[in-house]
Amino acid sequence: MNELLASFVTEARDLLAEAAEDLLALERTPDDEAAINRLFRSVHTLKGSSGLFDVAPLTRILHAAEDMFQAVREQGVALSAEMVDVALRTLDQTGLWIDALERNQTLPDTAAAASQTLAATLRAAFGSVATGGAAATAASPDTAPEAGAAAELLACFDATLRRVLSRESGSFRLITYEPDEACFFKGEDPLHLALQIPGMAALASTARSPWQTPDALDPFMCNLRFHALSRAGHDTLEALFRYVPEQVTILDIPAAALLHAIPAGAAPATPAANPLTGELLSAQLALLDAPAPEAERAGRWAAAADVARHVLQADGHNAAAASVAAAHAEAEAACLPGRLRSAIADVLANLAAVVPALAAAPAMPGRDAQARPAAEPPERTAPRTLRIDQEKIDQMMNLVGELIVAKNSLPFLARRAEQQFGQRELGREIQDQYSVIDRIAQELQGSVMAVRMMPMGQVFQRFPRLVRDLARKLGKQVELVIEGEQTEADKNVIETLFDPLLHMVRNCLDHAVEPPAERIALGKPETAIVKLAARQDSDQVVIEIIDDGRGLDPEKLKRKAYERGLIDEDRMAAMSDHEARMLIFAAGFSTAATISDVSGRGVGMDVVRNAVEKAGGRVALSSELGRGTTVRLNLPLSMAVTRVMTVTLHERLFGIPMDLIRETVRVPAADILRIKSSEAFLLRDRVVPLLRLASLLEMTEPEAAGDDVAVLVVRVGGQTIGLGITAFGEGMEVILKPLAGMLAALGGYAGTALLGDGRVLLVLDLKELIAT
Amino acid sequence: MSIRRDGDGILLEGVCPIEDAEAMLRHAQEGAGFVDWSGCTHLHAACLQVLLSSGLALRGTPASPLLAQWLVPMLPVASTQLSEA
Repeated sequence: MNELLASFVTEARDLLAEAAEDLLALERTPDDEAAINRLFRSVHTLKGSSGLFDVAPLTRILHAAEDMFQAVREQGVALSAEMVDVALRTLDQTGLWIDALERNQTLPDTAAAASQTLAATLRAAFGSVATGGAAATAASPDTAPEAGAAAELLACFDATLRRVLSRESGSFRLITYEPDEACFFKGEDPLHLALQIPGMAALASTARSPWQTPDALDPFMCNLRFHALSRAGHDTLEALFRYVPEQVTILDIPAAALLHAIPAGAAPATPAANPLTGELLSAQLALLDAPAPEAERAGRWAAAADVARHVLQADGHNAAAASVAAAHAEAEAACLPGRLRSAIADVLANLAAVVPALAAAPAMPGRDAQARPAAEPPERTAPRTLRIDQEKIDQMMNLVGELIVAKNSLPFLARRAEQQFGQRELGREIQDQYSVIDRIAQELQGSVMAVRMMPMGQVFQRFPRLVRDLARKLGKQVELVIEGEQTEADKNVIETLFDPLLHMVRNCLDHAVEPPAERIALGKPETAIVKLAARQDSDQVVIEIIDDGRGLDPEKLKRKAYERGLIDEDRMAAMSDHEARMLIFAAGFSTAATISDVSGRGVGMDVVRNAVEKAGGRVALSSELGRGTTVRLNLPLSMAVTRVMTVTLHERLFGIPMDLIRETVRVPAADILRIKSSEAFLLRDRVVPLLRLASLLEMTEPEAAGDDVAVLVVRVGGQTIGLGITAFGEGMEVILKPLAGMLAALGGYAGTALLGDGRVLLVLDLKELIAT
Repeated sequence: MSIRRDGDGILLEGVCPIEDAEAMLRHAQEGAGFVDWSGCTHLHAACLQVLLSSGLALRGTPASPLLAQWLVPMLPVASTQLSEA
């Protein structure tokens, strides 16, 4: 993908996310001026950048949205829920198109039609606001729509027009003359005709489609459009254009309205300082400054000039664009790159120079929002953050992993030097060197992990929108409170989290939160509060989803589980309230009477538990009937390093994830109870089932006959189980690699890790092993 | 001829008809650096297109006051004055 497009895609995603956030903020607090300004700016910037690419449908809906937000901003109208719905839909559609752009570099074929419908819906939803807005900007109400349309056309006129108009009163005719493409072949000279316009006050021309390079230009195809302001009457003008009436539109505009409309639209005179433009221009300067081989020089100049010209045109700086093009031509002719360089530098300086003026000017409609982003110090051109492909970070992480493994072989070497070759001194030196390398490797690992750390806000930021839409759909009133979005965790952990959180929040809104009427009857506030909170707790992140809804009813849950055949009668009677509440995590459990499209397919909560456990986390739950429920997820900060305990089984080494292990005990053979074909043992007066790892792994070696059995007490799937092995090994940190290729289908293994002495350690997935 | 090449520049004189557009474009491609239109009394729209799109720098002020008044502000740089109505 071309780099400009790639950067547009990234920028667009950020802007869309910000816009959605501001839109929701605005719905909550309608008079939040900062939010509407930010919203307008995001959409405006996005629209501006989209103009660089061939994505007219995208630009069109953004343009429509920009108009709407501008109208809302100027009139301080509160957004209705319907307006927000449509606006969010527009942002969603834009997001989808951005995705399509990233994949295929073009918009889908349906985009043009979809864009028209959406723009129309948008205008309809904001209808009352928008027409009112135009009226407010125009001097007299009956010419209001014309003045609105004129603003766009007026953008192409020279700044001097303002001075002309300030001396005039009465009304003007705004003429747009778009000659036929093939008019030259009919012997017409549109320029001659345009120059004949009586009472002309201003004349401007624009290109209908962007100008081609001289090589590709067809000089006999008319690509011109003329805009003129005239003091002459309608009749006189119509008489002049009597042969080409279909190519001309004539609008009446009072001079006062024109004066009002020009500053808002006169882009060439007061350019909208789009930060991207500045960045792109700076980049062209850098390109020109970089040393280039003779053969590439002309190509580079042309590339720099083209980019600068297109960027400027897209941003409405037509004059500046033309001067860059001119400078390029001169530079080529004279073989002096300095000419082109200084032209771009001048334009850039002008852009920057406009900024203080913009900031100082009394607030004009549509102006203050644009001034703000540009008001940052203009010398700040190099961004302080990098966007890096995740693959590169993963590659670094892998290398760090290998370094750690390689480093771990040094102690083996030291021991060998000492024991096998009798070199004590050398052994000690190797050991010393090892500790130095060990320290550096640890720090390196720490830094790479820190790079992968992302704030929880990345996941949380998607929820305000989701909760709003859901609550509206369900007719409930919910306020989402987010806490601790700054809490950081590894990118993989953050990414694993979204789906479980989504399920839980959906469940929460669907099942836990009562409808407003019910809440009032219960004496609760009408609006329910759902809280998403994250915090760091030593080497774990803790995420809580707290609601003040119905709470879980243990009796109801038990009955439901019984009806579904998940538990039998005895179990139902013996179950504690806490155990009953945990039933919602059982597979195939759903309490919703009707299956809605929100939740209630009976997959939600067990999926949550599986996903969290797969990421090495735990789920806990507490609930009080009628008061609410809290679900707590504990997740490791990073999934890159796994702590395992090694165990030996008939001379073979296996790894068991440390977080499953509760304790290690040695059970005398005589204390092992046999219940039919199963074995068990007593641990502090509790019967714990004993499974032999050898038989789980279907090993055929004979059981070692010993006095006692080494037993690893583990907790898997909420049960305590004893695992019989041959001997305990040591605990270690490993970089776990999932089984790949043909081995990927092999169940029972979480992955492999390389040991310091070069052996491969198979790490077991006990949950899967025990389930089978 | 209303158009001719003079060293680095293109000279426009009198009324420049549509045919001059092609010639001007050719000169521009062949490396002409500027257009001197001080002798020009009228310019066909096709020629204007070439001036607008090629970004050729302009020298002098056209002989016709109509062109000087309306076209100079429309075209890029090197123009000696900005007009006002």
